[in-house]
Amino acid sequence: MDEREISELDRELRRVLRDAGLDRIVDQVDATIVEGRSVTERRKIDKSGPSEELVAVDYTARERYQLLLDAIRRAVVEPAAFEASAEVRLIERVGAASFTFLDPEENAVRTIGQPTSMEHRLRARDARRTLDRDAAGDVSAVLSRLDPRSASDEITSE
Amino acid sequence: MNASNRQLLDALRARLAAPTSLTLADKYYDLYEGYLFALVVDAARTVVDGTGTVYFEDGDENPVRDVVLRTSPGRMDGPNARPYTHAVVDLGDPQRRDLEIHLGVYFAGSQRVPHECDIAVVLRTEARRARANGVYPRGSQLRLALEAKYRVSNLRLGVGREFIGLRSQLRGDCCYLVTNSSGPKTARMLSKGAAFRDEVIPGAPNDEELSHFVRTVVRAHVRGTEYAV
Repeated sequence: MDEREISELDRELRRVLRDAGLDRIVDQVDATIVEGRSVTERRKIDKSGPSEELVAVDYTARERYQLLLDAIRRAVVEPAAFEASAEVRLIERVGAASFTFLDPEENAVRTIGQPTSMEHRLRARDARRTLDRDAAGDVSAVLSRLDPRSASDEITSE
Repeated sequence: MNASNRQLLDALRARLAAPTSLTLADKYYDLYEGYLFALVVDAARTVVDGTGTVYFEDGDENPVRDVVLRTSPGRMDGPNARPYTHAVVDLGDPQRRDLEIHLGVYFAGSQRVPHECDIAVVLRTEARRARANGVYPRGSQLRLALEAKYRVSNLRLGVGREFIGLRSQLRGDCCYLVTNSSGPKTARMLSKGAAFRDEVIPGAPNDEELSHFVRTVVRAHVRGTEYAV
């Protein structure tokens, strides 16, 4: 993937996100880009000789694009993995029947698993159930193919 | 743009546009905390398997199998705490050094101010003392506290600065900042390895590393020593 191609993909990807109402992802990546990176370099500034100095470094176009890909992965793919991992650990390994996130007004926000008590079954009626893990997997596969760090780079380059 | 990349972007657009597939309006802080809670509970289980047990209780100390987790921080005591669940790490120990694992509860800091702990491993005697007397559990009785930060982009430096404040109020030697994201500047500021774990996500090496670390902390407690940075 050359720099021109990466800039083009970055621009298009931003458009896809904004069209999907995910402006917040783009905005948060931009905040990181504005903050920039810093590195320590040995520079000769003072008469006394070289010294360790903190130097600001701008992200390259490739790095900016990679930040965007990482952000989409975190926003869209990772939550389904958090949920699946918690399900394996709490339900399969430790023996819980279900787990529910309850807000301070005692509304069930999300329920994973099958509640055993009537109280929890009633609560879970209006709660969200598991995220669409297949959809998250599909998005992950697409992001990998768009990622210049992955081996599939050759597939997307012409 | 080549046709292959165009196709990929179209596929992504279609997936993100599907209204019910991923509920993208959510911010998922709760799921990240739930994932870390599960990681800590499961790691503790592996340490006590064979000699003790791990089970769940509600705020009235009734054993439950339907786990209820908080979306906002709350107190360990009082009527509002009743539905919420914590894990009990029963060591099978007559010296009553059992532990409890909580999600999103307040602890009393060194300056007599309550502070939220996202994931807290605390002595059961301290948790029971707090529930029975309507007081905040003391931060000094923590064995492990994880400050969870789910972030889409890189961790901003301000998060690290806030964490330094939290460490100064609770038991600093057992407080850790854990994030799904990366934060090179925060890592440098907090001296990575000591108090900071980044890129902790399921299936990643840092998931296993954190799990191993929790086992080390619980094992040290079982042996009657304390793990500290």
